[in-house]
Amino acid sequence: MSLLRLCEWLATTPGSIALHESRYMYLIVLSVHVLTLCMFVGTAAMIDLRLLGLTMPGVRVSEVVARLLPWTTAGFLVMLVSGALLFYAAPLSRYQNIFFRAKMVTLVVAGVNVWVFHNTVYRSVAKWDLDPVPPRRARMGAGLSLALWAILIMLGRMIPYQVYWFDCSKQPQPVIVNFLAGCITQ
Amino acid sequence: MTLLDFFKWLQYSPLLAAMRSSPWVFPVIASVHLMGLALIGGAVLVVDLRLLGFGLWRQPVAEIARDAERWMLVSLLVLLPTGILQFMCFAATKYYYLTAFWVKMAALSLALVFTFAIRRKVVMADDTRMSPVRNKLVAVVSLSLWSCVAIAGRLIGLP
Repeated sequence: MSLLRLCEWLATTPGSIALHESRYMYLIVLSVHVLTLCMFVGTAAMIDLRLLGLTMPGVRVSEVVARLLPWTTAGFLVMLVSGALLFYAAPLSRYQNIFFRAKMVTLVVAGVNVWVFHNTVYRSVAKWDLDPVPPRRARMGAGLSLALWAILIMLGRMIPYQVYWFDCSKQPQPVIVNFLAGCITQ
Repeated sequence: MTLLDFFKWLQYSPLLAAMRSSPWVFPVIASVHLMGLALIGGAVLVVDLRLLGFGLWRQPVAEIARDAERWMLVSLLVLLPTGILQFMCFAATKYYYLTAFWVKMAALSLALVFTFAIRRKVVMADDTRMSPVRNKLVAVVSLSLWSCVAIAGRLIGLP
């Protein structure tokens, strides 16, 4: 089954229809998704800023991570669940949304960045735990992380605006748009 | 000139007309506003979690608060201009009539006054002169006020 068929099938399930047509539920999920940003990206940004040497220079890096990362992780889980529900409410239009697709790619890249950071430079944190400005590789990981979350926020905010510029429902579209959005044309 | 006249003057100024004519401008400004929201969330949380005993715990509150305050100011420098621009886009036709907008403005004023007048005095004090109960109360009021600002802000953007 192709992803497109899967999305088409998802859109016919009662849960998806109920969420899509609900008066308040969709808006509540959307609001939770946006507001948890404060907790998820907010605490992640504070960790990144410490790694860049831009805040709390007197606090051990490992302590900032140990005390704030649980909040980042909890925020991320809420983002993941609410985000999945937002997708489930309109699977096809999300699937054929260029900003949504770009956001998912960015999310994977951001995840790889986190994984690489924790499995390489952060392993030797004991050696630079008290450095006001951590080593270059740690700073690069943190800078990249900040940039990726900022891009993710922008792509997410753009998702509902695609319909104003280019959309599979508006043909003819440039070939590149149809290709990137996965539009089906004759 | 009434308030509504002033809002009309803002919304129909040439700058705003130019901004509205492009479909990209509004969502891009809104995106930058959201980045500011994330940052202020971090700057507020790092101190309030410390006061509640859930965040960093070994350092004096004042040390964390001083560092966080700088990033709070940076986030306000991002939030205020982007917020004002979004407001100007639809000042007279939407915001003037929107309860959520006025609630947000009231909550924002209270949050700013509370943060920079009351909370600041409490968190910058010497740790030996702090009372855990008062610290927790300050954190709860701070989180509640900023949540009101954020939730009302979200409601403004809903259809």
